[in-house]
Amino acid sequence: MRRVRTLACAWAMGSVVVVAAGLPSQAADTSPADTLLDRARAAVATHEFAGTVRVGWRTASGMEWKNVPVRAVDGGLRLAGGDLVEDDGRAWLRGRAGWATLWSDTRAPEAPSVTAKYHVRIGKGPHVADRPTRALTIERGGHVVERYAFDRAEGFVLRRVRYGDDGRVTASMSFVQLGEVLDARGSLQTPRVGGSAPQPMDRPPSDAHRRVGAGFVLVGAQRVGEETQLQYSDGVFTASVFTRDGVIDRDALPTGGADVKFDGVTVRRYRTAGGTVLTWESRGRTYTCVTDASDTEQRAILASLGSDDDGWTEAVRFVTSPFSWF
Amino acid sequence: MSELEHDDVVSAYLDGELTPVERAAFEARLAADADARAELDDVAEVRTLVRGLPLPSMPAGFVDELLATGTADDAAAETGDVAPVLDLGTAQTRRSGRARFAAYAGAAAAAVALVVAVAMPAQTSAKPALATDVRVHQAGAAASGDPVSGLAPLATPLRFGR
Amino acid sequence: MTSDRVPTWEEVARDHGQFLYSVAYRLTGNVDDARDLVQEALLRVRRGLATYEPGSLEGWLARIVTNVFLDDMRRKKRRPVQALPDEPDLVVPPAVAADVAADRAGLSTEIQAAIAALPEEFRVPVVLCDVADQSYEDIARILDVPIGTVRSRLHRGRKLLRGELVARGVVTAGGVT
Repeated sequence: MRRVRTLACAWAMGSVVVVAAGLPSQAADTSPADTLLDRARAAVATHEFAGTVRVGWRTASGMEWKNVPVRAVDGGLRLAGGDLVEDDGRAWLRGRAGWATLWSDTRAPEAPSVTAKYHVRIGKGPHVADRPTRALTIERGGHVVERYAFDRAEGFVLRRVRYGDDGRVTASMSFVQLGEVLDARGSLQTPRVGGSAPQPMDRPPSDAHRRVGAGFVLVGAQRVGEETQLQYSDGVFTASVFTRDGVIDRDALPTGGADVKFDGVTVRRYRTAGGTVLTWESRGRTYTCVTDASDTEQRAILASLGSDDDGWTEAVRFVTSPFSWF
Repeated sequence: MSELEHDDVVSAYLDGELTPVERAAFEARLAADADARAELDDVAEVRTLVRGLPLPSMPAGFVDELLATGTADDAAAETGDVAPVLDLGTAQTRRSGRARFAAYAGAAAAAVALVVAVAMPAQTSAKPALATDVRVHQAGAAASGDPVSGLAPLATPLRFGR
Repeated sequence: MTSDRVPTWEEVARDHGQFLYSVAYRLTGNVDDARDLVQEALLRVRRGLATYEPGSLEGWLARIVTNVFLDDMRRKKRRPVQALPDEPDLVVPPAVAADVAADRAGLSTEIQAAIAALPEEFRVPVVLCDVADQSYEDIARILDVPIGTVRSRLHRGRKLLRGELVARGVVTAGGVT
């Protein structure tokens, strides 16, 4: 099912550099960058192929790499030889204790347009896995934050590279081998959606911030075990804020990480391949923020969430109907 | 007009590509011919300008991008960790003897918890499930973006670093 | 880098990425094409390392970059690049690399533009000699032509380049008439 991104209504801060006419199937109110991304998503769901991607991520000691086999089949995805399964947004991961349902919501979040906050450039891309590509460069403040290479023929993302504030690559994925691409048929047999799966909420908690940081908009809410997850997006980066009652059992935290002070509150910070994890407590609740956004963006998010005992400083009450998030 | 105008010996001389005999002969010509010296200066000027160009800056992250183009045959740094473990929290914690209270749910209960927290120093302790949080976050982000690049990182080992 | 052992492709990317990029950029004149060129060259480097005999690594790398460049030129001549009728390309002006010395940026850009204006036949020897620092013998091997041909094309390239630079006001016309 095709998911169309909507433009963020109130504050389009970016601009699109487009010299010639647009891309195929471009809706009137979406930017070419959003169209490329939506098309890429749809392309994976409607084609079958097998290949290998090389995943890279930055750690304290430099970049690490791993090859991951990828198979698109029956409208879904099987990665790492079937240890990771995706179908229509739902995702499962096979662990030592069996299948874990990581996502069960098939509705597409209405994220802001890429161009709400970022500048984009589209042009000729490199050959990736022997296939010509179209390149999308996403920038802000003169720095490139992310670069995509889309397959010219079918539109898949063949390469995606993310950059930190210092211009160095922080994460990357690139197809290194891709076989024949065919149309998908049939529907993928998936694991069951487990009882402990994240449950989508029709409306977020009444005290949920609608906006955090610089342009991060609330796009979804889930119940994840004993936690509530609020999902935020700025069109490119995402941030999840998990809250649960109770204060942190510090002994139960993973070893490693660093304690950083923010506004008088001690925040435990970890760097992981999945992003930065920040966890802290306030007013008897524990908060965990997971985000792939930069440290600067994280500080803005923390500031807007409010982390002192005087309470939320920027709470925006959620007043509109259940199906509207803005 | 210098007869050297179309003579590539000028370039060869500047590039040090003449034999000692050829070089001596050329230098003799230069000594005798002002136009030849002017011709030499012209070509030398161009040569110097090109040689003096600074190194063009590589785009940000260029070398990392080159390194990202590894092939499926690479054997480098493969850990063989095929089945990612979902929750690493239990494996890495120290055991604590503190009593743990069940977590409350709901706003009313939160207010009660606040009062309780003020009254008693021992507070309700939340057992963090950070590995779950990261995986769920990644899966959710992949659900609204590109699924392959969003999910492939979940097939890599999850480690909590500084 | 000492030339007594075969490097890994990662070492080539890390230690010689700038060299590869410099040659590619001076040949192509723009960032995007230079980037593509280096990526393709590195693929050939990986394949070629199996049979590489330690010697002049930069000479070998210069040869690979040049071959990729010339192959691209030949391919473009055979089949002019055209946007597919139902998918017009979004044309963005190619990015120009920022040169290291900011105060020389204007001059470097002009010189680079003049180099890019040279026909490939003359541009390649100029870049190989004055950017990649290759000897006439190395260039002859790379281009598979006699040394005399290298010498004459290089000289002609410099003369043409001078003409370009005079036209752009970078150097003053003068000298011989």
